[in-house]
Amino acid sequence: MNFDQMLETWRTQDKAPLYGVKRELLRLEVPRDQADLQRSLRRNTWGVYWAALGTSVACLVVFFALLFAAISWGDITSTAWDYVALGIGIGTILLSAVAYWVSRKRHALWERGFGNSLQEEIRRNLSRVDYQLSRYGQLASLLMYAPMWMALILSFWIVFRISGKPFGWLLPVGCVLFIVPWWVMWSLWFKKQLLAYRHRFGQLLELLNPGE
Amino acid sequence: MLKAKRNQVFEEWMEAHKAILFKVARAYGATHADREDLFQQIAVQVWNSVEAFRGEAKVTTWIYQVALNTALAWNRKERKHGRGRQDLEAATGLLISPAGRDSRLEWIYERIAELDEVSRSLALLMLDGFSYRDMSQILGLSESNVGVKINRIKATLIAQLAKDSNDEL
Repeated sequence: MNFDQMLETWRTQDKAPLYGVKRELLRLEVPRDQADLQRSLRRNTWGVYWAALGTSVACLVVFFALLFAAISWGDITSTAWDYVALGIGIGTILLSAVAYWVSRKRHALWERGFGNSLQEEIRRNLSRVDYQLSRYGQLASLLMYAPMWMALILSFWIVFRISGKPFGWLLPVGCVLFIVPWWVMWSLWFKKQLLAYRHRFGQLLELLNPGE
Repeated sequence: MLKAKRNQVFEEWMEAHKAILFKVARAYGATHADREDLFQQIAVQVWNSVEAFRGEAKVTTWIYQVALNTALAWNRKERKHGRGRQDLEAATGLLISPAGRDSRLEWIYERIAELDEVSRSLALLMLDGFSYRDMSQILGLSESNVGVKINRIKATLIAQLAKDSNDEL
């Protein structure tokens, strides 16, 4: 076979395609896959954050409900600090939600600047990974996950407040010492995945533009 | 765009250009199950892209662009999960395998599979007769860069042809 015969062989696929396709199955599979893809994207983008925020909100609602129930039943006397704590809880959640929303908006705007070519698609993906990586150790990131830490501290404060015992540091510190290593391990694992992606995109760009 | 209209355009595109999807799936998928999976992923992305198509490029160029972008993203996912997939286990039965096999065509796909992922895209476009201009638009490279890469791919293929022609081709 020479080069021209090779091209001719290649073109035979247009008249007689390599495969047949079950059209009915495709008609069923495409919209289903489309829905799965959207769900998965939403899960990846928002999942971790909303899970953290939702848990924090639920935790704060339950503990503050217990606190104000105890006050209304006359078990404990209300102080100004109860309302200050409630304000801190709500404020932290609002601040975190705004920080996350602004951060996503800014990045979405940046992503729109990329074109449709293969190279631009790789650069867009690289920029997504860089965006995730850039959030490590940033103030914005601390703000985003602040409700979790705040909910933990306020929950302990309410428990001590209801029990009438003075605030003891041992339990909260023990809890934080238990959570932090898991948090760090998860963060490192996630960062490793992101770096692997980054490496892969770098390789593809290198293949497109050797020596650049 | 209405869903019915989108479905209609998708059906028309699939009917006229399904060969592109088969070629990309065949070139990037190592097993039959991988090819089915990739074919399905590309079909989903083509369906997604219908609304964004403004008619500035030819439909074939557009579909190739979507298909190649998806193929590279799909490979990334496969690597991330690092799963070895079994043909029978993962096959959905979406694609019907051909009854007969063309050994020459198999040879071409084997040579394409030996290329790196970017060169594979270029080889497919070259074999389908795309101009350097179209290729540069799809890949986002300069035309001269495309020219250099295509010449290298051609040289590799010609050398392989010369080597293997005495044996089985």
